[in-house]
Amino acid sequence: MLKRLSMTEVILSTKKLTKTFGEFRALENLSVEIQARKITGLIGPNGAGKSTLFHTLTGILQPTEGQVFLKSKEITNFRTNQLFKMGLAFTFQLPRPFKKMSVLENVMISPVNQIGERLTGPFFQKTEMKREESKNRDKAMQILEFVTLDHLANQAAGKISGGQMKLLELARVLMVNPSMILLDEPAAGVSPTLTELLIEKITDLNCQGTTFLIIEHNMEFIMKRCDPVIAMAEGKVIFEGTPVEAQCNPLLLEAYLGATLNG
Amino acid sequence: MIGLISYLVFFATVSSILAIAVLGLNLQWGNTGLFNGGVAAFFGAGAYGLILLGGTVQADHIGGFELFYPVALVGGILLSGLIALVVGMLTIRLRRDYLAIATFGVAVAFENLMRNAEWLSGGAQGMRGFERPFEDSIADPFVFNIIFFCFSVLLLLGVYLFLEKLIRSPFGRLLRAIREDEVAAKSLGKAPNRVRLTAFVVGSMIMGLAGGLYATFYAFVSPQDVLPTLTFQIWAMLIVGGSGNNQGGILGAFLIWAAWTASGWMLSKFAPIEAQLYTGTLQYIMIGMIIVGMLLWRPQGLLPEKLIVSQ
Repeated sequence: MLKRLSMTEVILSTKKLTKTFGEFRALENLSVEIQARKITGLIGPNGAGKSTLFHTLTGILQPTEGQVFLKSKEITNFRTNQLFKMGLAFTFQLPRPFKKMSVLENVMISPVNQIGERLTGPFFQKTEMKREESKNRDKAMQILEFVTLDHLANQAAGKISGGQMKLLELARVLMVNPSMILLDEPAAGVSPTLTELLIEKITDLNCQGTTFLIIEHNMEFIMKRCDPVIAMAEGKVIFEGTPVEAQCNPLLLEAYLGATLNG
Repeated sequence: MIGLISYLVFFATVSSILAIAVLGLNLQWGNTGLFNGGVAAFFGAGAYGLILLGGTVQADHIGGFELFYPVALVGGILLSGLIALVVGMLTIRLRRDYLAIATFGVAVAFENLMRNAEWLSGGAQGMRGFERPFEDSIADPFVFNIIFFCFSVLLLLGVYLFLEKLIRSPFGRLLRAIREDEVAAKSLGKAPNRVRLTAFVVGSMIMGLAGGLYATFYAFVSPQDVLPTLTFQIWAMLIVGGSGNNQGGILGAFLIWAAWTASGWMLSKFAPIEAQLYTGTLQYIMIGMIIVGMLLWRPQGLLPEKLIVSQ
């Protein structure tokens, strides 16, 4: 047991995180640790505070109280763009592709601080810019191939299917080799075939060392691939453990069942 | 015959100058999604800046520094850029309609300042006393106009090539991403506010260049040249031509300016006297109807934005 503890490394953690919206307490004194190089599943009934936690971790929302840490560095109140540069990437629950841009362009945009993104780049650093562009294009094509969207590279991103948009969002963040990716319901609204593919890709990336934190309602997904599983209800963590333990946990069953009865 | 050619040269010169302003707006709106409702102010800053710096000494207002023409022109452009920078820093967090209202207010304030601050701008009388470069050495006004037309077209071409290069670069990609979805762009490590400000300032400087050329051509500028009508016309040109497409913007400039001048001419020729009193108003209604019609039936414009697939 001791040995196992010493081997785990925490990548993302919160300390007594609270987020209120007026009177409503969406997160209540929440302390949680996400272990590096694992696929952590985040489950809980609707309104449990999962998305609020996500948004607070990714800098979309600022916490009312408490702290967030990336490894040992405090990142409370950091903005999304800063966090992305630090290797913490996320995708949206409802995909947000740049619709009037090609799928390839959607992916090529990701690398931060590109030479050509400066106003002067295209005029005074042409050679460097072209070199960087061709490197980025090759990498973007490889990633598109990895998520099986390479045949759509020149399509407008607004014209691909919802499931493909989810894959595109994953491709977008993969451009920068993030150390951690947060996915908000990656399987929602995605066909079973694409879900299988998505699970496979996540597993592949995880084997290469990428940490995942995934909100998901698809229990098959959670039980098959996520370990550990964290469950939330009413803004608090009510369970942390293996998927098998989760299945037999009475608190968890009550939270879900209660929610179903009330809802 | 020479009269017709002379008129066509005149028409094409004004159209080319306005096309430059349309290209500036296309960078802001077409590519970045910034709703600039105060085009006239940035155009006007370029025009007033040029005459202030390059004109001859006048008794009733400041200016008359008689600077070398290119320096005065660049000075006007920088003045537009400076105003855009200040306005931009104050309003860049504003989105679409709010930004439009704020910039519209800036343009109205600019026009009123020019109309009332006589010490600065000559007031409602406008600013005169600008000597067009080489006008003395080229005795024939027709030849001068042809040369000035070539100069305007050359600058239009230069601005066009500059912007084409810009929007096909990663910078342009970034602009479009911010236009499409700012939140998503932020999630990918981008800093939208800084980029929006850059596009706003550069676009406004291009409008300032157009204003400077306009003032050069007429050797005169007055508050009448910076009325909201101008903003309205420039917008109509972009919408008709095709927002997001530089060639469309240029096409729109020529078409709308042709429609504007032709309608003015036709009204003065064929309309009953009572209607002629309202020529300006009728032209307004016509342009308004063109905009509404375009937005209803062909919102993408005559030459729609092209999907840039890869460089």
